[in-house]
Amino acid sequence: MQTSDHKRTVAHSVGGSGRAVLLTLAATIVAIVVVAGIYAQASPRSDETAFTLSGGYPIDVPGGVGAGDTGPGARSAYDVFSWQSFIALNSPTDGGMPGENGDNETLWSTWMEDFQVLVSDGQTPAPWGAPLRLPTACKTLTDGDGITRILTHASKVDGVVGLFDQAQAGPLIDQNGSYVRYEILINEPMYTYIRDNRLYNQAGLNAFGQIDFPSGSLDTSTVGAIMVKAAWKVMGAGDDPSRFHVSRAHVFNQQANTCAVETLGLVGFHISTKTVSAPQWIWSTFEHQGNAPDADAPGTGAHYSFFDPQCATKRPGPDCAPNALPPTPWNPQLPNQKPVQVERVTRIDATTAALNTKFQQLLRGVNAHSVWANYMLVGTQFPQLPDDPTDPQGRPFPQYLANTTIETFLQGRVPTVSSNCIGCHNRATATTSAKFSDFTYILSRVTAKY
Amino acid sequence: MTIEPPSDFFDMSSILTGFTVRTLRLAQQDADFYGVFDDVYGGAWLKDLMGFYVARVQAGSAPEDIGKAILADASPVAETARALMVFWYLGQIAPHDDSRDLRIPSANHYAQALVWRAIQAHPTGVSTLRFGYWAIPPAPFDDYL
Ligand code: HEC
Repeated sequence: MQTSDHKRTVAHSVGGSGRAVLLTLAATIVAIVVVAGIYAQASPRSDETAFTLSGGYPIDVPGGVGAGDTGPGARSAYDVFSWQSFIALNSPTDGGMPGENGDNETLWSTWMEDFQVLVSDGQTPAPWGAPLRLPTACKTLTDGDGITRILTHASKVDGVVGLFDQAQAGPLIDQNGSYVRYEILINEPMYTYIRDNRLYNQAGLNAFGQIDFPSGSLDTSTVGAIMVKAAWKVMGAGDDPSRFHVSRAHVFNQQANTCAVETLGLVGFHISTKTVSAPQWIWSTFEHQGNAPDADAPGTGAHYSFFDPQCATKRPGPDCAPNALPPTPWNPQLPNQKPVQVERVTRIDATTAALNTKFQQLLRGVNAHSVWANYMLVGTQFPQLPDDPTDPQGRPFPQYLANTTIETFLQGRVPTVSSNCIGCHNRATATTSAKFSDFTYILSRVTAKY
Repeated sequence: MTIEPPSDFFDMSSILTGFTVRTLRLAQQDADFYGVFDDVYGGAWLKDLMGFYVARVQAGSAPEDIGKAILADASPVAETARALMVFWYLGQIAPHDDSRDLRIPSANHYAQALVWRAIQAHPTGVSTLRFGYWAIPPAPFDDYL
């Protein structure tokens, strides 16, 4: 237990501003990391990575964490890694700390979207950094000038060829009846790997050997493949946009071929990072604190984005069953959508919750009204025995991990049914002969033949 | 998981099952073998078994001899030890006083039961292997221990 030490180090860093805070924050994280005993053999390099927080990635958890012999679930090292990633990825595009001057455009929003890889027959993905091409339905919008973000995914079902026809999952509908939208982006090392190796069409995928995305390495100080999946909700009645990271975006409805410009608030955020210590990737997941209450402590007074404390009185009947798929048909255009009554089935681990408080305090130290301080780490899944010959999943810990806005309907603790990031992504394949895609579902959606 | 099991529990279980402490700890992570045994079979019986084990460790007995002593005909803890072994291997448990009330407490106990590893296989319906694994021979037995 490092809780008391955490408190002490955090206390030092509160107050102060600008660059000083940045350094204190970094120093504090180094302190937390050292206290947590991660850097068993502290190397100068690991300090450096922690000192370049802004835009600097944590790269890897040094040495990994051996489980089993040392007792289960040495999760704090990976949770610190997750928070460092969250801060690095959400740093402003022009440098500095997240929230330093209010809400900010994030570094990851400049990455490439999944559909930029998923080209048509005979095409090559655009060079890294190329701007998005908007669907025609969005081009005509006059209020959309300068907006580059575009969202299409309405559920996991969308676009995954044949994988989830059984509707293990469906759309998440918020308290205002709006569909949550999802966005998937990848960083440059991952994008370049796909582009250079021609993994964007079936011919290329078949011709290529084993897919093995670059791993973040502390030895060479190189960042590996990172992919993120963000969940956004439309800011509407009852929502306070000043408490969210918001973005104006084109929301495209494939079914109706319509497009609208909306202000969206970030409600969920997955980060998957491939590293030397974690060939099965590190799976971090964050949520907005106002999403939903814990199932064993449903709040009464607070406003949640996906939970109505008065549901039972207002809409008696099956509508209030927690985490139930909404009735079909699933079409964001239809009126009178029934909100999903969301509860968090598995409480956030106490160690993780304590770490959340520390990092939220640090973010408030940068800016007392930081939107980023309203986000929390739900957990980090990592392989405990990455080289276990009996288990290509590497004995993930924790066994189950779910984000209430992304794995809403897959929460719980039932083997193969409940959300297990590594377990599910371990089944991702890329070709008709089911070549392993190295944990990404992006390559499962490659349809171009050549 | 409610309580973190004492390390003696794993050391003793390792002697009784033949699996490494690490494998048992990983199983316990996903399915609470310790707490459920305590609950369902009866905490007093488990306490006796652990006491028997710890006393012999303190007396300096070799692990193999401790295992034999626990399971000997005249041993007062043999029955409890067998129930624990069945639980680890099959995920099945019944209260000490009512052996007909046999149950598998959760899907995770079913999936984490050691029998699957003992036969270098995986539980029906729960595989952590990748597409096409059925064409590849399983890892050597020792890797499963
Ligand atoms: C039931 C299977 C399943 C589970 C469990 C699951 N995912 Fe995914 N994930 C998918 C699918 C399918 C996609 C593809 C895009 C889509 O349909 O939304 C995806 C997409 C992603 C992406 C974008 C990159 C990609 O592979 O397309 C990230 C990042 C991601 N998931 C992270 C996570 C994390 C973190 C967890 C655990 C908290 C998790 N996933 C749990 C199935 C799953």
